[in-house]
Amino acid sequence: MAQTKAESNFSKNWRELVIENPMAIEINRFRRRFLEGGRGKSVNTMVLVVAILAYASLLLVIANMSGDFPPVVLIYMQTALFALISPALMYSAISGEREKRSWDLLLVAPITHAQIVVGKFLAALAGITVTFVLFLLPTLFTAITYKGDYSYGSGSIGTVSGTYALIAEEAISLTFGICVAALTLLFSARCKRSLMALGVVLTLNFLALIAFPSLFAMMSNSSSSGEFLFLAHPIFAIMRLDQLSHYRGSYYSSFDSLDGIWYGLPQTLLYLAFTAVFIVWAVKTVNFADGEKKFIPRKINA
Amino acid sequence: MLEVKELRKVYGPLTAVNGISFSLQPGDVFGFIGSNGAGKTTTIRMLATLLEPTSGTATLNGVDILSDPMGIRKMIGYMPDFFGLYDDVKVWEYLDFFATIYSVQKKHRPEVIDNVLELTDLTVKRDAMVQSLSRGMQQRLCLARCLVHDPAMLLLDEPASGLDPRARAELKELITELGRMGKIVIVSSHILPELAGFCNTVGIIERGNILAFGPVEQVVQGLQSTRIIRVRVMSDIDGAAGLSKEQPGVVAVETSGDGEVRIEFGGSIAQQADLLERLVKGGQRVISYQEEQADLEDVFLKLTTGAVQ
Repeated sequence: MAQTKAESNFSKNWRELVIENPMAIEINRFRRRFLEGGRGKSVNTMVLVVAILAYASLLLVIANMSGDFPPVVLIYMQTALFALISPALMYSAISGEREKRSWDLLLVAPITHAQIVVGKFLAALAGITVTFVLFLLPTLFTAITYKGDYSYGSGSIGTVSGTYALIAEEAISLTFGICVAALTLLFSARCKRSLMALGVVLTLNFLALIAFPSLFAMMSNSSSSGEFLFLAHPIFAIMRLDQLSHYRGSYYSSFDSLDGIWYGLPQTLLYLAFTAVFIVWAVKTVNFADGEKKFIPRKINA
Repeated sequence: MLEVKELRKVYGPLTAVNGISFSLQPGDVFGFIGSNGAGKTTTIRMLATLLEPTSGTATLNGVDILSDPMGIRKMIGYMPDFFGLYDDVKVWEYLDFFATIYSVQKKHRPEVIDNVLELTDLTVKRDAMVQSLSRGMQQRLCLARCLVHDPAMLLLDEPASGLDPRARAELKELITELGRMGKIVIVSSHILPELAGFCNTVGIIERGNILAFGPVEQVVQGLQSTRIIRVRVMSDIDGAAGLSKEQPGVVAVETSGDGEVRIEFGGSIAQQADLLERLVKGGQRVISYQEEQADLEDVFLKLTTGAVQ
């Protein structure tokens, strides 16, 4: 009975927030803004042209190095790109509406805060999906053609199979991108200025992905405790999966205590869990920057 | 029908709106008059469900703003005192976006968009980018946005601020037309000539309290115990003044050097007609006989002190 009720709630929420969410029209706005030549905005057009040139160059390099280009390099690039693209897609999602003073127009429409936030998030997912697909095609090509010291086909040279490693690496990368988008959306909901939201998220990314790991690596003497601390790091997890897929021993890495079960699914689930937390948090406190709510609600003494 | 009941909003020590009540019927164009900081925008934002009242409530066609805000939102069009436009979309895309949000069915959307564009005289700008529109056109586009879901009530907060005289005149015409269509239109402003032409009901608010409310003429007349009648005669100004003094209802009479008699009159309309008759029968050659019209501005200045909270 309880399970049926939970299922019913889930399907109701799914219908309201995704299937029948009028704010899903944001996907169209996203398409118009980012994929239609910049709509006369020179900055958008320039970014689009640079992205196309960069992508074409990448494809040329891959074609030129056919057989010698390791697919994991593309997944590293994709993950690093997500750390930048996700904030770029989401930083002005809500704070931008405040700046344009169109926020009230959404709040006064017959839609819930959850529909607004999820609609914005769906638009980001569309952007992330486009990026993911653009990288997935060359990644699959390189995985098939790569003639390095391990195989991505039926390979089981290392302690995890090459196919599992490839899927898990892509899952980590994709969910990391989604998680960063949700984090950006949260800060966009909580900041009055878009650039403030962008700055905060890029700083957090820099600290979490580069500064703290570098600092920790310098201070640490390696081994298991270090590896546990690095588990949530997407690049590290992808690197470990790659190592485990083509080395049976543990000589390659200084962090050698954890086997394949610790990589792939745990990071994917962790990022998805954080995504859910960030989205719910954004929904709950979406009026924060309007001065209606406090970051930590003040307790009212009776 | 809109019924506002004891609506009150308090911010800490500040009472922005102090338990106001009024009601409006379909077709009413209500001018909400007050100085900056009087409580107009706060009231409108409460009616738009953007602010939760501290106490009191309002109902629109029986739907309560507190217990069913979603129901209210489907029935209102809200135009804030700023445009809030997306500049990277075309005019029809902007309207299509809001039509979608207001759950206008996909098959009806093109027709609805064409209709509101025609009503707001923006049909020729259908495919123009929003950022390329003039200020007046952007304002009309905002109004078009408010209309995509055919709301029962429109809340227009300072709709004509920053518009040139022509754009103001067009906006007035449009708002009058919306009233004729049976919508309740609430227009807030502190620019009184802006409202005088097209509002049939006014409310004057100061420091969160409504000082006067009702049809424009009633509000204007309600504040005047006497009215001024100016009479111009051909030659015998003293004779005209003397005859006037004999008429019941006349409170005071003054003459000026340019042949005008200024009569302060407190009688009925019939007595006012009798006064003219008396002057003519008394041999006065009357050139003009005119009641001085008090306007909203006079009423506003008389009622309010200019104090803000």
